[in-house]
Amino acid sequence: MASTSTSTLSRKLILKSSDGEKFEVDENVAMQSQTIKHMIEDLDDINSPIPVSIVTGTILSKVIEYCKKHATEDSDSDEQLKQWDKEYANNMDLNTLYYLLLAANYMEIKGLLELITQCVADMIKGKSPEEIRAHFNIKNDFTPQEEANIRNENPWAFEN
Amino acid sequence: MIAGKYDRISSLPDAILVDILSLIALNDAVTMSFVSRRWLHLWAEVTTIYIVIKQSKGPFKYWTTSAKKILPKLTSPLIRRFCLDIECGVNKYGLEQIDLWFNRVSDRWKIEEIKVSTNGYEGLISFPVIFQIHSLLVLELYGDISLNLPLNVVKIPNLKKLAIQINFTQTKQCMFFETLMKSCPLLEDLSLHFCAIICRTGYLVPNKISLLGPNLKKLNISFSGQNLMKTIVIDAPNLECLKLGSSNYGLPNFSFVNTPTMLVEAYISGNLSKGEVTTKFFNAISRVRSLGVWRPMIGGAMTTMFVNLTRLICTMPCSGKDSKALLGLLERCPLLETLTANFTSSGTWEYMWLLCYLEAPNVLIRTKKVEMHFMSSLMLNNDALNLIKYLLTRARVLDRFIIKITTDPSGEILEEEKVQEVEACKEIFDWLRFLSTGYQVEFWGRYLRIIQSGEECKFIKGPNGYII
Repeated sequence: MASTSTSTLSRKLILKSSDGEKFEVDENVAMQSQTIKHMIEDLDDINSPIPVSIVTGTILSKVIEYCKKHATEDSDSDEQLKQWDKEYANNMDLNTLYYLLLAANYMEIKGLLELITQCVADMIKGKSPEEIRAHFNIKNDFTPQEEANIRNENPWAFEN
Repeated sequence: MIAGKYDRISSLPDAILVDILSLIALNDAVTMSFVSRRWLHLWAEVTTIYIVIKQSKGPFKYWTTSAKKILPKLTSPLIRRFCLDIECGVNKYGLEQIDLWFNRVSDRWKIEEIKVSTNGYEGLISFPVIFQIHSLLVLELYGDISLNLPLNVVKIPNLKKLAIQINFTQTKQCMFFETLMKSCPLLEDLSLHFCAIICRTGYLVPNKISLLGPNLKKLNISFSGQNLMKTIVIDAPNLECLKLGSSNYGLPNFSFVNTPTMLVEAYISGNLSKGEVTTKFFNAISRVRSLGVWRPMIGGAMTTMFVNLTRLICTMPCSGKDSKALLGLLERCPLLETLTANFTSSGTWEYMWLLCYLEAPNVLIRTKKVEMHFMSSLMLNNDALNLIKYLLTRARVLDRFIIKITTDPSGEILEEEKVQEVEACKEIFDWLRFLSTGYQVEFWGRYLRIIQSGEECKFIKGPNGYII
C-alpha cells in the first residue's frame, strides 16, 4: 500500500546527486526513502539541498520515477502497479540494475530493493554456471581441479 | 544483452547477494557457488530454504537421502522462511521424508513462514508437522493439502497469515479448519479457497460454516466447483478488507455476526442471491470507501446507500439492464471520486437505456476520474457511446476520462475494429469540443491512441492524414 498522506499541499524537497544534479520532489515522494526521512528529521532548513552522496543524477532520476509512481494514491490497482514495476525493471540494463540496487540499498527504499533483487534472482534461475558467468561477466577463478571437487560435493544441485 | 565488460554483480555487498540467493531455489543457489570464489560460500547463508521437487528421481532422491549432508552445510543463524514447490508425483515414503525435513528445519531455526505449492502433483499431501511449529507467523498452503488430521495436532498460536484450500464436502476437513481458526486468535490475514472435490467415500455439503477471527483484518474467500454450501457466517469485528470470488460466479450467502464497522474495502466478483440476506449483507458493508462488484444489477437486493464510497469498480456486460443498474448504484454513491467500469461483453439494450437516464440525474457529482474498459472495439456501438456521452455530461468536476480497449494487443487488428474506433472517436471528441470541457480525455484503442487536454489534442497513433 502506498503512502496514506492526504495533504494536498505537500512540501517540496531538493535532492542533490553525487554529480551535483538537483531534483525538486514532493516530500511524500522523497519520504519513501528511510534514509532521507531520517535526514529530514535532523535538518533545520528543509530548503537546502539534501545530498544523496553515492547516487548519480542518472540513477537518482530513475529512483525518483519509482518513488513518484508509488507515492501517488491514484486509482491504480495493485495489479496495475505490479505490471508497472515489471516493465520498469525490464527496461533496465545490467549496469543500471547494479547501480539501482546500490542506490535502493543506500537510500533504504524497501519496495525498490525487493523489486530489483527479484529481477536479478530471476536472471540466475535455471541457468548453468557457464551461462551465469556469461550473463554477468563473472570470471571463473577456480582451477579445474577445484571446480571438480566442488561439483562432487554437491552433486544434487546438478540433477535437474 | 549489452552489459559492459565489468563484473558488477560480484562487487555488491554480501548482504545483498545473500538476499538475491534467498529468492531462488536451493539448487540454483548452490549452482552460483560453482561460478567463482566470490560466490563459493554465499549460498550457505541464505535466509530462506527454497526447495523445488521436479521429479521423484534426481534432486528429489538426493534431497531425501542426503538430508543429513545438506542441512549442516547451511551456516546461516537465521532462516525464517521455508518454501516448497512440488511439481511431480511423490510417493508416501517421500512425503514422510519431507515431513521430517520440516521437523529438522524447525528444530534448528525459528521458522516464521512456510509456503507449500503443489502444482502438478495429483492427490492429497499431508504434512502434520507444519501445524506444530510454534514460531510460525505465516502459513501458505496452495493445492490439495489433506486436513484429515487429528484435531489435537494444531499448535500454531502465533499465526498472523493463513492461506489454505478446504474441500468443504469432507466433514473432517471442515472440523479441522474450525479447530485451526480457534487455535489462531491472532490471525489477521486469511485466504480461503473452498473447493468441492467429491471423494469415493461420499460427501456432505454443510449448511453453514462459521469463520471466527477476533483480529482478522483481511479476508479473501474464493470458490470452485459446482456445489455450493449455503451460508458463511463471518464473525470478524475488526475486518478491514473483504474479497469474495468464484470461478463460476455462484456465491453462497454471507452474514455477519457483528457489523464490520472498520471495513474499508470490499470486492465481490460473483452472484449473490437476490433475497433479504443479500440486502442485509450490503447494508453491513455500506461504510466501505472502496467497492468492487460484478454486475451491480444484483436485483432489487442492493438498495444500500454507500455514504463513504470514493472508489467503485464494476465488471459487467454492456447492456441496457446492466447500465441501468450501474446508474442506479451511482445515484447511491454521493462521494464517488473514481469510477472504473469493465465491460466484458455486449448485451441487448432494448428500450431500457432511454428510461434509465431519466431515473439517474445525480450521478458522478464529485467524480474526478472515470475509466471505461471494453473487451473489444466492436463493443463501441451507439448504445455504448450514448452511455459514455451521458456520463460525460453528468460529471461536473472531472479531471480525466479514459476509454480503453482491453483486447490482447498481440493479435491482428480487423478492418471493422478500425472503422468502429474511428467512428467512435469522431463522436467522442466531437462532443468534447461541443462541451468545451476542462478535463482530459484519453482514448486507448487498438488502432487509435488519442489524448485531448483542453484545446490541445495529441494524436499518438493512427492512419496517416487522419484529423479529428
